[in-house]
Amino acid sequence: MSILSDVFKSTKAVILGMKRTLSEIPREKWTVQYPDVPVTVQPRYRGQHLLHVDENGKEKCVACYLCAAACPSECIYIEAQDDPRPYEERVGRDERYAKVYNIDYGRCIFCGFCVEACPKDAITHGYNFEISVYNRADLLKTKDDLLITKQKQSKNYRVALSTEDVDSEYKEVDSVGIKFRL
Amino acid sequence: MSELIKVTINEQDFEVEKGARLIDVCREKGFNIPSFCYYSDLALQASCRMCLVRIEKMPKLQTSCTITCTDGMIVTTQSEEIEKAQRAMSEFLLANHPLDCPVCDRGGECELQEMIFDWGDVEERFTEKKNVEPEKFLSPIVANDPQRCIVCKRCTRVCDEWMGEDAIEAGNRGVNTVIGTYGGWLNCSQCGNCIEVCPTGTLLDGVYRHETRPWELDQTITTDVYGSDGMQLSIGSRGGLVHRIVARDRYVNGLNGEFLDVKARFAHEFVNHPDRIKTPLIRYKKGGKLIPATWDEAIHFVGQKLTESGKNVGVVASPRLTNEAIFTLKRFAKEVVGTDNYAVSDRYDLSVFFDNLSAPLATHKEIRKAKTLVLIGGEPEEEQTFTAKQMRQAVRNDGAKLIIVNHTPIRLSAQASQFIHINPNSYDAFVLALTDSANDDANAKKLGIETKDLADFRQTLSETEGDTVVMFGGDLSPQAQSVLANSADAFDGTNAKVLFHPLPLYNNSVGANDLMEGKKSLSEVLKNSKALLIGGSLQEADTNLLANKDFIVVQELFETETTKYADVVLPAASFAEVDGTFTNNTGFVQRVRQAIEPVNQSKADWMITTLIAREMGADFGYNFSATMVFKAIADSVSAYEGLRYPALKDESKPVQVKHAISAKKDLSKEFDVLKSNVEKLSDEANKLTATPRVGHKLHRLTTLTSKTAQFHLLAHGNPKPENLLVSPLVQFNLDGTPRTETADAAAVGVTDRINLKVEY
Amino acid sequence: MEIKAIGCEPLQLKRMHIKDGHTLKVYQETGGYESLKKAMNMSQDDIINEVKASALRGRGGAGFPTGMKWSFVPRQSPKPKYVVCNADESEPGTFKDRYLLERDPHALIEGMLIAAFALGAAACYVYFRGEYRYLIDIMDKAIDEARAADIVGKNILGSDFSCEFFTHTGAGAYICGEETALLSSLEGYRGHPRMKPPFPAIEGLYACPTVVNNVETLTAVPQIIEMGGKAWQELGTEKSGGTKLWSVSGHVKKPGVYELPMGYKDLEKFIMEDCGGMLRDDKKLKAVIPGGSSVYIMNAEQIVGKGVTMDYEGLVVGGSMVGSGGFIVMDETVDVMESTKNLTEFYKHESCGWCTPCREGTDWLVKIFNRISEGGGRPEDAQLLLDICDNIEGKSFCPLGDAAAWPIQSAVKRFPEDFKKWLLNKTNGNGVVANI
Repeated sequence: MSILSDVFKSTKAVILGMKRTLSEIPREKWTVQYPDVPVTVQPRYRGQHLLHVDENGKEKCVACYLCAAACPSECIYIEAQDDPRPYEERVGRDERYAKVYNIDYGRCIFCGFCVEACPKDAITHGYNFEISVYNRADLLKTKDDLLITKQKQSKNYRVALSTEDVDSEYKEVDSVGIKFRL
Repeated sequence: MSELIKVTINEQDFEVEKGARLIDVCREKGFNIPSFCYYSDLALQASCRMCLVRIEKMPKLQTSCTITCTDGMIVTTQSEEIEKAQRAMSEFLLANHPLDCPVCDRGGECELQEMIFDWGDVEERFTEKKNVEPEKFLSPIVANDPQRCIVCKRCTRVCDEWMGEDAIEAGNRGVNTVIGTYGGWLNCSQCGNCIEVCPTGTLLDGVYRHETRPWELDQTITTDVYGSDGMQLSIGSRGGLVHRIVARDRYVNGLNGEFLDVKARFAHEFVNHPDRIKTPLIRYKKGGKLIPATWDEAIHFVGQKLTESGKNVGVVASPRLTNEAIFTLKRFAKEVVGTDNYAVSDRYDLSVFFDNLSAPLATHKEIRKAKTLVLIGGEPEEEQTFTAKQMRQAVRNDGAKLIIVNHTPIRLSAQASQFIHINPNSYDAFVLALTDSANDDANAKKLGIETKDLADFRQTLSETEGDTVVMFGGDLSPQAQSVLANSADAFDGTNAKVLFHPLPLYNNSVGANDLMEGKKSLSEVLKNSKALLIGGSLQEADTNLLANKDFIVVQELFETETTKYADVVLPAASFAEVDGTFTNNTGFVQRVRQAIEPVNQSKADWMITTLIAREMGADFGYNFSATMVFKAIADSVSAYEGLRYPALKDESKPVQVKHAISAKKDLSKEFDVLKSNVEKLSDEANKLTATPRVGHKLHRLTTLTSKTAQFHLLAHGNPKPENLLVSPLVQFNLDGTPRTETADAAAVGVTDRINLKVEY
Repeated sequence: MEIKAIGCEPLQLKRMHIKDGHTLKVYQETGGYESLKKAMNMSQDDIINEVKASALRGRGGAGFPTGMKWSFVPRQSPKPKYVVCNADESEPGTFKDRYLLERDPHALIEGMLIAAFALGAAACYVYFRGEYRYLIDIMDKAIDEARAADIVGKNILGSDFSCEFFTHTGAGAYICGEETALLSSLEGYRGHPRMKPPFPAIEGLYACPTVVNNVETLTAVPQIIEMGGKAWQELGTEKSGGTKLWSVSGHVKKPGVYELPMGYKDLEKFIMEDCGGMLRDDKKLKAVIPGGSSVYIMNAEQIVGKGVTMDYEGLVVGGSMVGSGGFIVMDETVDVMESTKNLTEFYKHESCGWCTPCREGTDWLVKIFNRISEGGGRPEDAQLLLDICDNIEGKSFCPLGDAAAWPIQSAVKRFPEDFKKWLLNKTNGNGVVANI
């Protein structure tokens, strides 16, 4: 074996090794500079819940407790309230609404059963995943934290990469041209 | 037992009683037959057409609820044809039924919902527009959503047959049929039984409206705390709050099936009322204020003061308390204080009845099946509602004879086969007439009736073939009660068994009488003692006797007239917060179960008494367990011998305590009193002709009828009667002015629902 | 307006054209109340046997043998017995009883008295439909006349037999033509049908044995007594005796009330010759409803050249039923979808709401028909209509559910073209299809 063939072999190996690296250099970058740069997530990502409102800003939730019943980790707590006022003065869309709507994110496993159970399309998973807190008690989110009107104002509110905003009907999102590349 | 016949159901042979209803037989044998309108013991309706079965040799599918079994009948309950028919019926029912289950309070316990879920795959082919009908309130406690109605008419039948009130009826025709009132608000005693029997969300509890969902509630089976009938009910609680009360069980009939009265069903808001006493209160100085204190401090203070009083301590128990609490109070008097100064603060003294009892007590089932019912005095519709319902059904459904002796034409008298309308205050004369037929003319004159009435009365009794149940209450004089209770032979028919039924006022009047053996009268106890331990408040009229006592301890829920005199008030727990037992007017010992933790700092009554006793150096050996208290009762009271909590577990098979039946006694002393009373009666008396209405003013909060002083604590209505008043005669606004609107205008429901764009 | 008998002597229609036929005088002059006298000399069993022998069948619609019905009444029962006349003639297309009540009320009184005598009944009730209020005056007058002549009331015609007469009017509910609903209404309750059994013959009015018969059935009774049951039966066929009134309406030249012997041959001849043929000569026969709206509708193929006889058995063979004899003839200008829609609306409006299939089913049917007529028909609707009808039929509480289902079932099956036109073609919102 000559030194020359060693040099040749090793050079070839280096070039072969670098080929992958070099070919990737001109390509689009996939790395996101999180948290310096905010991220977007897949449309079907299951983040912090959103409580939706109808076109007049009335809460869609009628406090039927089905999400709480479906929840495997029993993290949803609701207290219903009668609201016999006319529609214009009501809090919710129907004559019954959730006075208290709490989700304990210390227990939530983001399984999405609550979303499936909801007969009124009032609760969906949003895209916020930044729910870590310093105090365990703060993991309990109340209706104020969950309502879409409130969340929209929060800096944590984020959307999927999609032409549609989430608070229009969630279901339409995946049918309307979603880009699967970031 | 009637003869047995052979019936073949789904190719299996069964022997059943002749005349049995096919649907009952099938269900008993394990073949599930769906139905909505069928309700045992109500008139047949056969309108929902769900219970269709195929019977051989009959041309069409037959409704099993209308068929009585005949020998050799061959029945098929499951086949393709039947399933198609039943699916078709549920499809029809769903056609105009709004699918607003998420909002509906019945969701989760709705019979229609259950049935559709059982099918699992009901395809909805109805694509047209559904009929809409606005929601309304039939009364503040009965909400009505006519769209959800499937016109099974259980409510109208219950109103008519159970309550005899006919306040609710179907209006309009065909698909527009709606359940409603005869104009205006529900003109009735607001019993709410229509809500209970409704299979869908058409009639709903207006108090519990949209509060929570049934599966979220913890259901605790317990006993009614108002009436002496001991109705079984189920407390629905969630997170320490009592949300609603429904009858014992929808399908398994306990004592009372689905029957409850207005108080039992709606009057539960006192449990979580903000006015409940929160901590022990001590009045350090006479005339001073009640000041909150800790339990340790209060118990120590009480123990110290009662020890100082020595043997001058009297003990008073309220008949609303559990057997355990009453027994502990008695033990306190006997063992800790060593005195005989103990009494029950009941309105009527039941000991005269039980000491002279000459025949067994009737159970409610026996009242239902009795052939002759004799009611002397009393107003069961107001005070013993379940007894009244059983009486009415015995008369209506089984043709029993009802004889009513009363000085007012109570509403039940419309059902009576003989109504003896006597002069006011002349019950003594009737009792004399009953035991002595020689002086009929003179007695009839005193009673203000014809002599023939008494002869008719005796004839009916002698012709009775079956049970005779004699009922009378504390509104008769003690002497009259003793004589009546001791003269079972006076009611003997040809082939009859005579049974007695007392009409006490409070949920545990009978238990209090049983356990407070050797009790003295209340006034005597109050006179004899310088210090008092009172469990529950006194009747309001008696409270002035509490003045000028050295030391008074009261165990109470609310601040009442009695607590005004108290030096120490200890917060007691209500019936929803304790374990224990009540004894009802048929002698059944029934469990009271803890539904929620004691609110605030309250404790069970027997526990408070035990704490005081321990402070005074006596140990009852209860280990703070109600079971141990009941064991002590069973060990020391002969009528309760051998009973334990596990024996009382099954509400459908209640246990009757063994009240001693005494032989015929010499009651000449009582007769003398009766005779002198009767002599004092004037012949010229004005009869009362107005029929008293049942349920005068209903308070929204606890919905008590003002006519019946039930709890001491609620003796004058309820703690805060500022809420909505409802009366069958006049409806009141919040400010106390009478309502004038008609039903439509008064509907406080949501009228704009039609305009709402919500897809159901 | 023709009122005449064809193929037989006028029996029911005997006094239709006699002046003042409704008065007692004329009635008696024309042989009235002779049958009553004759019957009162017969034993009760003999009367019932005569009626049985006559093969008289209920003319109200169901066609139940009258003699059999009478024999079910427990005559030994200590309870009072009642005879009730069902004059609640509400079946669309039927108007025969109206003429009998208007022009021959005494025949009804006589028939009811014979029935009352045969059953030992103490009282007779005549239940009029709400819209027949003016007939009550005629009836009351007739009863007063009869009472004055000792025919009604105490000791009728000097005998021990007493029978009181009452008239009663409904409030306009079709359901009250059903016998148990009629009894409920008569007792003062809502006109809801009652459970059978117990049948009215055992527990009817006020829970006493009761016979409920149609007007025409009862007016036939005097004739049967007069002629003898056998002779009366021989007018008709073996199973359907005597004569029958037909109320003819629709697209014929001579609509009216016709009395035909049972077993009359044939249906086509009746329309084309006796009723004067089609109203417009250039329009062909399309459909016939032979027995009031609640029976199967027949199409032309089932009639023309088929030789359908007009009696209970013959019409069943022909594909329909006698019903109450409301004979509706339609020519080809009629759209059967629309006529069926009209009928269904009637049944929806008249459903009493007692049982689920009738209450919800008729409402659903009407909603479908409305959608179809507004142009929203779908091809699967035909099957849906049949399914719904199938689910109503035989499952309802009273026969009215069946009555609502049958016309639709037969219409969809026998006139598929009329439905196809609506269900297959998309139309504009005004319901205008390529219409005739």
